[in-house]
Amino acid sequence: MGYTTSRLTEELRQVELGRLPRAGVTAATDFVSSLRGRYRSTNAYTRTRVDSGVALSEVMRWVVRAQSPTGGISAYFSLTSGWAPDYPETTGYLIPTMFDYADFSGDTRFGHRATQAGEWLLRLQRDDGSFPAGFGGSDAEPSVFNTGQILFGLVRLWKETNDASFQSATHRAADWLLAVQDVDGAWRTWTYQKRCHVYYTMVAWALAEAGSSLGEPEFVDAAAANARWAIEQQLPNGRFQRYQLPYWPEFLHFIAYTHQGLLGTWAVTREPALFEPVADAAARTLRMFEISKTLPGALVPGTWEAEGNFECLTGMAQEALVWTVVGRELSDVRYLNAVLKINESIKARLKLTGPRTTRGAVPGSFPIWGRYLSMRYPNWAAKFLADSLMAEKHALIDPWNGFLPNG
Amino acid sequence: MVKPRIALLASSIHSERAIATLAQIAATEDIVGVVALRTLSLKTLLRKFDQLGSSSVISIARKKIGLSTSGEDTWQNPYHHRRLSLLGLGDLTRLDSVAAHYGVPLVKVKTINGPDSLNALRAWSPHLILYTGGGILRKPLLDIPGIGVLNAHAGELPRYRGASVVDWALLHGDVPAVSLHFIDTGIDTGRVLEIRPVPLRLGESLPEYRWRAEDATVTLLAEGANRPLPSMGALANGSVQSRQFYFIHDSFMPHVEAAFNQLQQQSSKAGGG
Repeated sequence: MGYTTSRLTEELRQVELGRLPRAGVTAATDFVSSLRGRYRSTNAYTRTRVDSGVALSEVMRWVVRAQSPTGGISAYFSLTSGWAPDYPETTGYLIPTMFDYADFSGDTRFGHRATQAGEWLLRLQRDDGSFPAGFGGSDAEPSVFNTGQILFGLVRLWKETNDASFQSATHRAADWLLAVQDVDGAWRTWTYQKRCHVYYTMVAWALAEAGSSLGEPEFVDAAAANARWAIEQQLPNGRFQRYQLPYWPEFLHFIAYTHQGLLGTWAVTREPALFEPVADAAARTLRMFEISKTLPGALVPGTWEAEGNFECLTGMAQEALVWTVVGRELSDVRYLNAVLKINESIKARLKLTGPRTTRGAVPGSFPIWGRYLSMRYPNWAAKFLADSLMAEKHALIDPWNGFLPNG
Repeated sequence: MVKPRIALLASSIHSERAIATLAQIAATEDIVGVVALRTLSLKTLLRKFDQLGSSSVISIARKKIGLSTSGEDTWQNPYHHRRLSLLGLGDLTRLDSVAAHYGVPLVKVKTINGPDSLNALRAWSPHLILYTGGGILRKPLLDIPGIGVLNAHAGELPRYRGASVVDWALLHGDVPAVSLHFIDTGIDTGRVLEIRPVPLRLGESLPEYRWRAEDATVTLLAEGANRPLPSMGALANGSVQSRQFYFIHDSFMPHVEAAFNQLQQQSSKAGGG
């Protein structure tokens, strides 16, 4: 994703808000909502205002609209420039979401769409097993992060279809990640800005999943090595360092990536040392959310202080997924309570009526002009919200399955 | 025995908990003053609209300013109303009215920890402050009374700190209890003096039980004000730590209701309620 930031920055320079009425109307309504949000009620998100099933359905319909006939999924819809090109990285990790939604809703067409997305990705895989950075043009370099996120999709595709081509692609991608990993567990080659990044625990998680599916312990070991390297970057206050994003603040999206990646790797290895650091961070984000009724869109490096005055809705949905796992593991129903409430706050930011391009779409930021994916509706925001809403629904069917001590 | 000089803190002059508490103790204790938050800040109003909805806020406002026809309709918690009626104060529906009835000075302030509040409390020099609402208390206020600030929390401490604790206790299969404790700089972390279960009664609805549990905090706090002075002094400096609960999402309500019904049945079989 880092490779695309320079292209996104170019787009931002071209934004002229006053020329586009839809952008203006959206910005105006968000402005009014954000004023009201300053007087956020103690109980604002304890009530169900939008049914999660309805919201989930609209979000997934938007994903369908974002998918091209080729199978790739547009990176985002921009209020100022329309649909972006199809984006390999997030198409990759939308695949598990589409399969999950097919199971959840009974709509098997989502499974077909996931397979179409996978076939599009196979055409992009390089000879060495890697996947390209950015939008995957012919001159694109290989990318560790994108390969990792696409790996999630490949693993799931193989499980669902039993198609040998997906198995082969999975193995080749995992082999390549292993080959370019440094001895200390970090990745520094073919990474954003040629630096190591703590949020690459998401790559570790994908590698762990691949190793578990393929029965290849070396992939799981490599994932654990990265997770241990990441844990060394944790500060005593629970924050992680080494995000290394020179042009951007530490968005909640990346902070939550770090937590998710560690938790996902732990889920495969079950190494307690990988769980405890995330549990520490999750306890802090839980408290922050319950006290402030929101999570900041970005944090000052090394601290829990907000940087800027906006919400990163993607990151909020991601952290909800972290809470779901942590809460169940700790038998602490307060985490499920927080998941329900943070999902309410995100649902309140959705437009469930209106133009097809934004109906069911999840804005990058609230207000929409906030620093994260300004004026855009990214497909990965839809993915993580869909995942969080499905997790919520599953938890409430059998809420005491782990969330209460005797459940 | 010297009666302690007692001051009361309230979230507003319409706080039913504050009205019931003051009514319960004013005739027998040395109440030196009441500090209440001003009711109608913009922030409070927006919070109430968001929390309760516009029609509920308008309905409550009509009751509070006397546009309802029946005295009982003015009250949300019927137990508080019954308490005042038993005390012969059934016609009084505002904290300032009860304070005036007993000749107790009442000061309205913008914030509970602000200079107006601190100045009033320092002038009254209370031995003990009873807390019925008004927000989180800061150290300058906590340092004013010689003994401390007492609260009656609607949950068993230290297990159920925070909010919605009656519902959280029921969800965990526990009979809720109310706790008398000193307030320190943490959230419900001050030393606990007494824990009193609120038994379930067969035939009672969950909302009725919640009202009764809230009224039990008034009884406990009023009794706390009447405790002998020396023993309170010895217990004033302590704190405990445990996890904090937060406002419960309404998706849990069917499960809270089911747990409540189950506990009611168990309680009935055990001969309680």
